[in-house]
Amino acid sequence: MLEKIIKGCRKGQRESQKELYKMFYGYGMSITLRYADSRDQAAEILNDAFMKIFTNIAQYDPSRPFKPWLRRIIINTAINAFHSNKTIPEKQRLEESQNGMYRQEQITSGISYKELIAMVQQLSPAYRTVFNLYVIEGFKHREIADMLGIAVGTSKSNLAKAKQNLQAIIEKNLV
Amino acid sequence: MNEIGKNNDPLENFFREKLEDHNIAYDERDWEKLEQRLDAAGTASQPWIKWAAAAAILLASLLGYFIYENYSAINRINDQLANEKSSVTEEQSSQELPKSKSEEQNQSKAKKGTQPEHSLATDQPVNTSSSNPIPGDKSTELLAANIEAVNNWDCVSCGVSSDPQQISLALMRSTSPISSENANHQPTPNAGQKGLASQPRRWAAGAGASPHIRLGLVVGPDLSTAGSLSNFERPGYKLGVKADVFLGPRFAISTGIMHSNVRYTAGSSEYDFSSRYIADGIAVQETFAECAILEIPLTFRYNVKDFSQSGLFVSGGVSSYIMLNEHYQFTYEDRYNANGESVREWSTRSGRAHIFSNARISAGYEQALSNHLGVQIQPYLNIPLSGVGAGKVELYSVGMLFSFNYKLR
Repeated sequence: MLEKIIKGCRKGQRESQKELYKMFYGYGMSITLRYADSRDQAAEILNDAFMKIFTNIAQYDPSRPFKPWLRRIIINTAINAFHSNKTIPEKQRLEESQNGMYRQEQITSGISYKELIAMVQQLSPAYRTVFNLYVIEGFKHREIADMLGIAVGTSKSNLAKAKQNLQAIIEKNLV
Repeated sequence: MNEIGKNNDPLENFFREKLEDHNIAYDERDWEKLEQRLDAAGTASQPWIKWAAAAAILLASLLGYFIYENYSAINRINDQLANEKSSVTEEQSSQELPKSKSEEQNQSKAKKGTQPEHSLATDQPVNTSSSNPIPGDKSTELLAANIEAVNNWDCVSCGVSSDPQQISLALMRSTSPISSENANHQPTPNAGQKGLASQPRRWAAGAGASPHIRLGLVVGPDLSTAGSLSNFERPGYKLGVKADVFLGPRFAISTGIMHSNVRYTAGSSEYDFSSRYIADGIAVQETFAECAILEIPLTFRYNVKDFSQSGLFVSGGVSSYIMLNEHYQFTYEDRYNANGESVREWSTRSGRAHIFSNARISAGYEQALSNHLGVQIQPYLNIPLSGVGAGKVELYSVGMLFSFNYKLR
């Protein structure tokens, strides 16, 4: 099924392109929502990624799994969006927790997905991107530094601050 | 994955479990926005197709026009010869005996004399001394008129002998599909000269051609690759202008400027990363490039064969490349990805110039449409002499150039 859709996309068939988009829309949006400031921006990043996918579909190797290839393009597109939005003033940062240490017992699984996304979107773009790449995508700090054009130390520092801020947000929501 | 120990972080684990691979409900409005972008991009995605189609239509139209004009001229000459044949037949029937004797005398004299062949290089006229017309003899006057017309007719490799009978046969066979039965009838001088004079003079350079310049508008598809003549990517295109400066009958210096859209794939050994930081310690497996380049060729052209309305040529020389825009897509090893690789993109507008970076060889066929206009088809091959672009790749290119030429006085 997927193979047939990809073949249609290679030929530029609009029906196949729409099928592919619908098939991976939910998966793609779950990625871009974590990198974007808002849902609209997340949809825009997703569409940017799919434009690249449809344009470069001829370079996809059918012998390899499609989902990781698509995932990587979406992440790269999200990083490009981060680079292009660097001049936008960062969101007001949350006050760091006075403790500096998170309280493990305070974390609850009752928080919904939407709430978690909203928490992540409250982070500044730099913290949010490093947090996503390290915690969710599983990249190493050295790789994150290469992708974002920052120092390894900066990547580690941003991750620590992202986690502190998220802890503070969670605690604020629990109050 | 991440460093050992970090996986035990409860905050990280919590967010990872909650946020990883979550499915969001589909929204048709997002697709509609993407579809608009696809529609807008579709018309501009492959400009070379439009250019190639336009060039093909233009070439077909011009060739069709030329063929139509050619057949019209042939039909006119056919009509004239048919009319003259009937009038000559009437005259011959009234002058049987004396006419045949004078013809025999002229033929014997023509055979005895030394007759040089008609040659382009020397442009030697056919010897008419043996066929001086006998005053009052209309048939010999006709033959002399035809001979004179041949002398004024630029023709390469006509192979026409000095024999008046042969000359007349050659005239008729070359200008109309008249059968050999009619070859014995002589056309009237006025009609013959008029028919030959209506032929446009030779476009191709040749004997008597003065130095001149031909300007041309060129377009055509281009296939490029790095490292060797294999593994080509999707075609790009070339579009530009050229000038051929003819210094002699067959020799010209050509130059021009062409905007090229070049696509190629380079292997790990064909792209030089030493000049720049791309990926820290991670090997690049393959590079896909799409570049906009200004090509400035400088070649020497030689016409190997000239016909009345066309010519074959070869050319060789060098080209210089100016890099306008370079876009690269690097595929490199990434063991943390399921497919074992990652893709990164990088672009630059360096404007770097590579003087005489490629050798260029080509051959071509040029067809005249009128005294000043012509069309040309020219396959070419560019071979690298040095590396070009950010990655200093050795770029090979093959393609076909279609051009519309204008000859300046």
